[in-house]
Order: sequence, then structure tokens, then C-alpha cells
Amino acid sequence: MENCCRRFVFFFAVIISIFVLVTYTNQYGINNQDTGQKDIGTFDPHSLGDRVGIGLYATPIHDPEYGMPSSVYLNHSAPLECHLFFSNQRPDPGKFLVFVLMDFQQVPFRFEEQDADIVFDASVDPYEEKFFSICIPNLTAGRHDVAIVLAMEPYNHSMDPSFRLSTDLSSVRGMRLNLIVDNDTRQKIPCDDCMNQPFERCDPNYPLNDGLLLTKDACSNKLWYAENATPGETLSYWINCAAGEEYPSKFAIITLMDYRQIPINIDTSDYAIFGELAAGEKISIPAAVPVPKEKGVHEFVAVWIPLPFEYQEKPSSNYKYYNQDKVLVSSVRVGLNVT
Amino acid sequence: MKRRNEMRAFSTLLAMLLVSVMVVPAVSAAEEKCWLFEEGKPWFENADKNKDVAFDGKELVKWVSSSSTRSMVGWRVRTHMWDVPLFGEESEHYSQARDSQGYPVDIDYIKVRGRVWYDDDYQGYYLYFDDSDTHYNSADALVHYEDEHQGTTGTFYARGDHWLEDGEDDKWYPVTTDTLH
Repeated sequence: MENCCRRFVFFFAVIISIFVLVTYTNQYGINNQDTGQKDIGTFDPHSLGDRVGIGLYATPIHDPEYGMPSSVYLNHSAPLECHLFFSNQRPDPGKFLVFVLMDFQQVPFRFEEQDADIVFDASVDPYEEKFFSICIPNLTAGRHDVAIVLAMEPYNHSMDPSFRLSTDLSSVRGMRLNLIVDNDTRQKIPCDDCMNQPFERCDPNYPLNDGLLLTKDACSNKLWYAENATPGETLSYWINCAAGEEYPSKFAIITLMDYRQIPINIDTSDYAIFGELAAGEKISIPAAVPVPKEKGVHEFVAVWIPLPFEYQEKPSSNYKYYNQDKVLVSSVRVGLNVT
Repeated sequence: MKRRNEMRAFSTLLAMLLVSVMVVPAVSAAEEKCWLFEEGKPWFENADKNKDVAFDGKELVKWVSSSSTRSMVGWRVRTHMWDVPLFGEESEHYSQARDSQGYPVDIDYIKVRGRVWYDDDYQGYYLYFDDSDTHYNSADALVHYEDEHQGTTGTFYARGDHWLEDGEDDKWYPVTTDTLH
């Protein structure tokens, strides 16, 4: 009888173990097949999981032939008109915000014939493709750096770190173009080929490369992604920046609170950081953000915009910034929980 | 005697459960692959080129823009993966431009960035690795990370960020592979 009981318990233990093994196998996505062709799947249940197509077109025809040129020449009396294409191939509606940066500052524009504003809500139904008209009026003469920017999942305020980490590089996306109005005179920026902000130098072994990272301490590698705050207080933080390990980087940085541009520091009106770093150079810039007065979770993000005012077309191999990433990327989105 | 047998059985059960829980994450590998080729088969088993999208949980954005002389098509693919290591960690991110037969095609711009974060037992996320590989007129880009902190616990998080761009849209396809194990 005892033997029978022992066998039963042993069998029970084996079955439980197999169940646990299978459960873990599924959770960790182990599904290797001999062909090696099987997709193993994502491990982040909170992943953005976007499957979208985005384009900027001169006319609302979904064909690369009608893509917006990277250099646009206009007379000052004409507005800049283009069409944003968004293809949402997901079962959920695609919701995003749209804004325009003209020389790294948000400017009013018209979206879908609505009255001019700084930021517009947009949405695309599941499995829908759509063009949105954009009109930027009141252009001034000279060469401008223009970015049409999309902020993805703007109303997801989850404080879960897995969601926060998934916003790294991608919560804000932008398409840039050079706009030449009347003449090709470049806009003046506060500081060219240097830094327009005080900074601390980081160790060459600091892991960041060709981009930015928000932290609470200078030259720290500990991510700042969430904070509880009280209305009206000021939060100090650091914007860590790095050139590529083997190539220089030239960049602009802007900061957004709930997708509206705010100054880099509370005691200045600087709307952007402009800088250039030599290969392997890494620095940390002190900054401060005022906490909004409204309670709830607010979204704070910094955006790294490479090669300000440089031409967007393919560079020649002797171009100084030949190897620099040319795509606008965001920091991890910081959730500020105001209570 | 009966009580001792029950205790032994319970201990066996507990030990097997613990072994199951510990061993499986150690042998598991977080991996994402996209648009792998089988020779002779169409590339977009996992993607609909007309819709500019992929279907396998990756974040994919296809951009369209134009230079003054020709239109450009860029594919951006981003992945994120989690893994609980037992004996160190390794991360690899590989971008490739391939034709329908799986042969390399040199394109205007190909870049991959790999980032690895480490959660030190719920004390916060630390950036451990951030590197990129950029090429013009090339078919391949690769970054690789190997954790030196053998035997660490906690959670690793890796992000792959691929960017491929060329004026010709019809002659090549993006193939991206990200692994974390």
C-alpha cells in the first residue's frame, strides 16, 4: 500500500514537473523547429507592437514616385503643403499626435483643413490607410530644417517599466526635409560646432553611443523613467549625450511635456540644445523640468535630432558626419505621476 | 513511517518543481527573427509589402521620402526582448539586405543599433551596452554584446533597431535577426 502511494505521489510529481516545464517553455517562447525558420515571438507583453507604414508625400498617392522631396524650394508667399500617409495594419485603432518642428521649434500648422494649432490628434481605424493633409503657412526666407513629427501611443500612461523601456528610441518619430524659401541662407543657431549649454564630461567607458539618455545623476547609466511628483515642483535631471565611438556627432535636443515643447532649463528660454561631439566624446548636461499643476500621469520626453540644418540627402563619403545616424529618435518616455 | 514517506514524496515534488523553474529559463533564448529566407520562397511570408507592414509582433515602419533626384524607401525595424540569465548574457543584432533568393544586395544605407539594459534585482534599469554599425553601399550590419558579469541574476532587456534605406524598392528586402540568450 505504501509502495502504491509512493508511486502515485512520484507520478503526480512527474506530471506537475512536466506541466511546469511546458508552461515555462511557452512563456519563454521556446519553439525551435529544425528549419530555424520559426519566429519565436516577442517577450514583452506591453510591447508597442506597431505594424505601420508612414510616408510623406507631395500628393496623396501611395507611390514612392510621389514621395515628398527631401529638399523643397518655395517662394515666401506660398505655404509648405504635404500629405502624411499612415497605414495601420493592427486590430486596434492607431492613435497618435502630429506636430511640426521648424528649425527645432514647434510652429502652428493646419492639419486636415482645421484651424492652425501646435499639436493635433490623429487616428486611423484598424487595417486602414489614410492620408492627412498638412499645411505650414507664414514661412520666412532662408533655409529651414523641417520635421513632421508623430508621437505614438500618447495616451498610454502605464508606469510599468516594460512599457517605459519599449518607448526607447521610438515613441516619437519624425520625417525631415530641407525647406529653402527664396534663398539658401541658413538660420542662425545660438552656437555652431560647439555646445550652447554647460556640461560635465563623462568617462570614455560610459556605455552610451551616438544618442541620449535621461538620468537623475550626471554620467549615470541608471535610466530615469518614472517619478512621483507634486504639482509645481521642479525636477532636476541630466541629459547624457554621446558621439559615436568612432565618429563625431552633431545634434540638436528638444524636450517635450505632454508633447508640447518646453525650455531645456527653467531659468532659460533655450528651446533646444545644439552641440557637436568628437568621436568617443561623452557628456552630461544639467537640466530641470517644471512639474505640471494638473494631477495625473504626464509624459516627458527628450528628442535627439541629428545633424541640424545639414542636408538630408545621401552624403558623400568624405562628409564629416558620414557615419552618424540621421534619424530623429526619442529618449525613454518618463512618466511623471503628479499627486 | 507513513509520515516520513509523505515527507519524502513532498520533498521530491518540491525539488522537481524547483529544478523545473530554474533550468528552463537558463536554457531558454529570447530571439526574434524577421523575414528569414527559405531559398526559392518569397521573402514576405511574414510581411505584406503592399501594406508596408510585417506580421510577427515586431515594430516595423516603412518610410517613404524623396531626394531631389529619386524617391527613397526606408525600413525601420525595432525589437525588444527580455531574458533572465543564469550564466551571463549575449546579445546579437543583425541587419541584412537580401534579394528574393537570399543573396546579399548592396543598398545605400544599412544600420543596426543594439542596446542592452540590466535590471539589478528591481533596483532600476542600467544601460550596459549601446553600439551601432553603419554602412553605405553594403548589405550587412552587425553588433554583438557579451556580458562579462557571469552568474548575474536579474533581468536583461535588449533592443534592436534596424534601419535600411535605398532608392530601389523592388530588388532587396530587409532581413533582421535579434537574439538575446
